[in-house]
Amino acid sequence: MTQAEIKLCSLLLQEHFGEIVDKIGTHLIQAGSQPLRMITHDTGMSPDQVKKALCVLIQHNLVTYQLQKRGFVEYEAQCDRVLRILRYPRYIYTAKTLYSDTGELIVEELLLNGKMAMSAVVQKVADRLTETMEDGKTMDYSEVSNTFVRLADTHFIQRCPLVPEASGPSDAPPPPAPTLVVNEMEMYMVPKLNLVGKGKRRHSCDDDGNDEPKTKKQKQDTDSKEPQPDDGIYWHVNIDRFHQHFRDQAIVSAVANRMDQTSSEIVRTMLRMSEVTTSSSAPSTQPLSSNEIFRSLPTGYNISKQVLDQYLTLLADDPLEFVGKHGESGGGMFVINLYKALTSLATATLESVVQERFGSRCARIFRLLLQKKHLEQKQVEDFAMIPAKEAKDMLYKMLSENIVSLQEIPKTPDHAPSRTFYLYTVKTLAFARMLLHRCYKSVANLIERRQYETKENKRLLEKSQRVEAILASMQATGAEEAQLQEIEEMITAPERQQLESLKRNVNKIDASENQVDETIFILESYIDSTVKRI
Amino acid sequence: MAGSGKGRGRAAFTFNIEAIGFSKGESLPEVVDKPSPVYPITDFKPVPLKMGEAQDYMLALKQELRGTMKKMPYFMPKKDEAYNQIELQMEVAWSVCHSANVTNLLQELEKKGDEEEKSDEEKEKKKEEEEEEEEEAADPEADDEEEHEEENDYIASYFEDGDDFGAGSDDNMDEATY
Repeated sequence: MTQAEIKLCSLLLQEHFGEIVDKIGTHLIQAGSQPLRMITHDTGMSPDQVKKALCVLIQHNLVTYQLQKRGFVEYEAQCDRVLRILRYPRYIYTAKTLYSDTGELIVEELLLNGKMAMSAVVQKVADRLTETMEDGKTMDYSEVSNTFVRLADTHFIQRCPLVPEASGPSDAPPPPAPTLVVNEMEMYMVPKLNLVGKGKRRHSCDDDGNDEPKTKKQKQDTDSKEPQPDDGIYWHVNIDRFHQHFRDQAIVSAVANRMDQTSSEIVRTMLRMSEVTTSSSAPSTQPLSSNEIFRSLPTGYNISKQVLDQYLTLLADDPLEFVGKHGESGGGMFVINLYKALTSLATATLESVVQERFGSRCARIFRLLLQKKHLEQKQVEDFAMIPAKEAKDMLYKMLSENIVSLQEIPKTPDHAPSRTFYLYTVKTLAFARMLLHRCYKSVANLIERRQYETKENKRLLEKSQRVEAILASMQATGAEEAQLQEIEEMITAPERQQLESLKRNVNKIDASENQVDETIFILESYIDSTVKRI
Repeated sequence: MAGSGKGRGRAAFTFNIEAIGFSKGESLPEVVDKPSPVYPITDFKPVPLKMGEAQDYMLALKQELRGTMKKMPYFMPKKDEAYNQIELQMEVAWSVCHSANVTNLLQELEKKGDEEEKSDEEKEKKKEEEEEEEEEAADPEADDEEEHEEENDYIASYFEDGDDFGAGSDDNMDEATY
């Protein structure tokens, strides 16, 4: 793990789980796999604290454990899973766009709690939705259950690995750590639950005056103490599926930008058809025949078969090679080249970075080198049509930043510099890794700055919170307008301005973090696609 | 003395300077003798952030999430800030995490109280195994140490062990030493 990644993980853990979990989580990321005793010894914290922090981390799928042959348990932190905390808002927002508020809250509850049983999720989400509804209306459990089932069917949430059934003799001592079993077939099977009920408001007893609802409430409380029928079946969010969705979104919008709306719809249809047949790490989707695509187009689109064929041919001939032709049967078999698409997206990101940092002329040289692969200095000047002096300057500036690199081709065996070709080239993968590292560093810097800003104005923030609390309580008890104004004036005008500017800055920094995370996603997907899989 | 360059003190390269694009006699770019500054001057201003409904909503989500997570039972703040609060938080975190079955089964993460309830047999068995392992481990270690003492001239007292060495609690003897 690079220093930048470790620093970022530490900041994320600290912000979301507190200092103690941060210290232990960061130590595990740096040290690798360690048993409990070593963690306690190295971090210098009390065993109690270490145990509890580990529980929290395991609950949130950030740390895994393994029973070693010698009989002790080793804990390992998943650094890249910790970095995903940055992407939680994006997951929740995606769930909202796909499954509306109910889906949004289900995913939010699962992310906040790490692992949860279905009954608990449904109950909590129904209560939360009921709070937001108008007086008298409640959210039915069945509606929430339906959304839950839909999320499971489309693989956005999945079951956690289960404790295996006790098969051996019951008097044998239990192992120090259970070896969890993952049943591939049952990962998305929703247990048959008879969840009947409605969401409860927190102050529901204020609404009705009679005794009946009170006794009902008592009954429900005792019911919740009995073990639910789905005890032991826990669910967590399947972030790989969300990543697949983001990747598809990026490809579709790239096609829409490059060509037109119709072609992007065709690509979206093809991706939708391949959702279940293609694994998330496949280099390209399964071949789809033109007839199949025609049948699966959304009903609103009434383009004729020939037009569809023309579009597909255009897409296949495009130099970006998002869509490739695989064969002629069924009216033409087409695939979406996922790896090539990811490479194009990452390369576009790199180009835009060069353009914004070094100017459009440097970007022109960069694109030229990407196209021609290897060029001599003289050739760069000629092809880019930039005067020699400036071209040289730009090339050396980019070379010093490691954006371009030199490839030596010796003419003679003694590698004499005067008789060697020096060719400039762009190593996309290396540059992408470097940029990714920079992104991690940027986000860490942004978080630090945000924390600094908040800390600087801590006194003012606390004061404004106190004033707001006083105002709220006074309004509840019915105070006069004059008194309210007096309280409001406790915060002076310059202080108000300071608060406004603080809010603006914090919002800007938060928005920047979200945007950098989008770049991180593209670069990480590209780098992952280049890693050879056994 | 063989000719060492055009004249005394003049820079001479082993290759033709024309090859990398500098014409003869031209001033070369300045030498880099320190790492680039921590806050480099940028020639171009950054592009403004993306604006839109989606971005605003995600911003609100992010801030809400941060606030909510601070109130969750999983949040364990620093010691000097609110000592009583942490104890409470930790208790709740404990009970919530244990309800997710799995952590319940990780024996060493169980609360200390539960350990006493374990059957005595198990404990004795475990202790016996550990003692055996310790003896085995101790013997080869002792041999190694003696060998090393003979081979080199280092005086052990020159190297001090850190303050934490051996000061760790030896209460939790659940695992083998190695």
